Amino acid sequence: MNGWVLGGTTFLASAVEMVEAATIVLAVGITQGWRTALTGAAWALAALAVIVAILGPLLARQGAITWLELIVGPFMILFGMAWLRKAIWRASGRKAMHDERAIFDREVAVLRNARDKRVGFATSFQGVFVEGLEVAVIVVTFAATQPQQLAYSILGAVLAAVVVVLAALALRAPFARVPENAIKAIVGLMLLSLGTLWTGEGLGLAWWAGDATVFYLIMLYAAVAAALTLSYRSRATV
Amino acid sequence: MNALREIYDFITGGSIVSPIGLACAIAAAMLATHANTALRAGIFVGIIVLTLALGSREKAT
Repeated sequence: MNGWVLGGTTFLASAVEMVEAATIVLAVGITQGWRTALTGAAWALAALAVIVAILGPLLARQGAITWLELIVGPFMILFGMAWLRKAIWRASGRKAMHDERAIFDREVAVLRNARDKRVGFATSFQGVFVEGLEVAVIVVTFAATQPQQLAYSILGAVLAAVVVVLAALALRAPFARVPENAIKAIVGLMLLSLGTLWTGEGLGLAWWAGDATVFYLIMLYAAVAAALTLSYRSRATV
Repeated sequence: MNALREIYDFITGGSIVSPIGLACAIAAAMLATHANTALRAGIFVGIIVLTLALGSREKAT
């Protein structure tokens, strides 16, 4: 697997999670002060650092690659399928578009009524911890079968963090203009394709074009997702 | 039970079809030892495509 493809996938997947975390931290910061919001975020990042430090050494074991592929691959297929399914539902109108503005307004409404700063701290902590844990899982799992390319995976996540934080600082508002459904569809396709490739390798399947099969899988799944979306749209208009 | 349900939903996105389809795809790839490896790969991918199609027909959550 090309390291830059791996890094790009990690970048997109991490950016989606970070946008959600940044939205929550912004809501807490604006309503209950930046100190509360950033303290919660900092504690969450510290907890994440401990978890990653514990999981990190597992990546160094080259001999466990087949088992890792068999363990990680199915999870990636399930995650990818869940993301892609929701993207299909949203694109075909069966589910409302994910609206960061609506989430932001809801968080602000709840927090304005909260007297206790601990609510803000807990909200910020949970948002950053849960989304951050997903980023950590993405970084670790994407590089699990290719420990030598862990640097690309980490680079993708770090670049996503830089871009999202800079965007948050510049906008100081939710990222409602980010075409989130399109990003989620792409990430879903990549997760599903990589998961299929790795699970297959773990099962001892011989892919038609080696690692390059992942590009054919992306095209196949994209075509299926597009066909399903068009099918549901046409049914809705009949 | 709620915790288990949350873990299940986190992994599968609340789908019943996805884990069953994935299990079928893995089982088929493991059992089809008489077929050549390219055909086994085709069966595996085919079942995943079918799972995606059936899963997208589930109730939107």
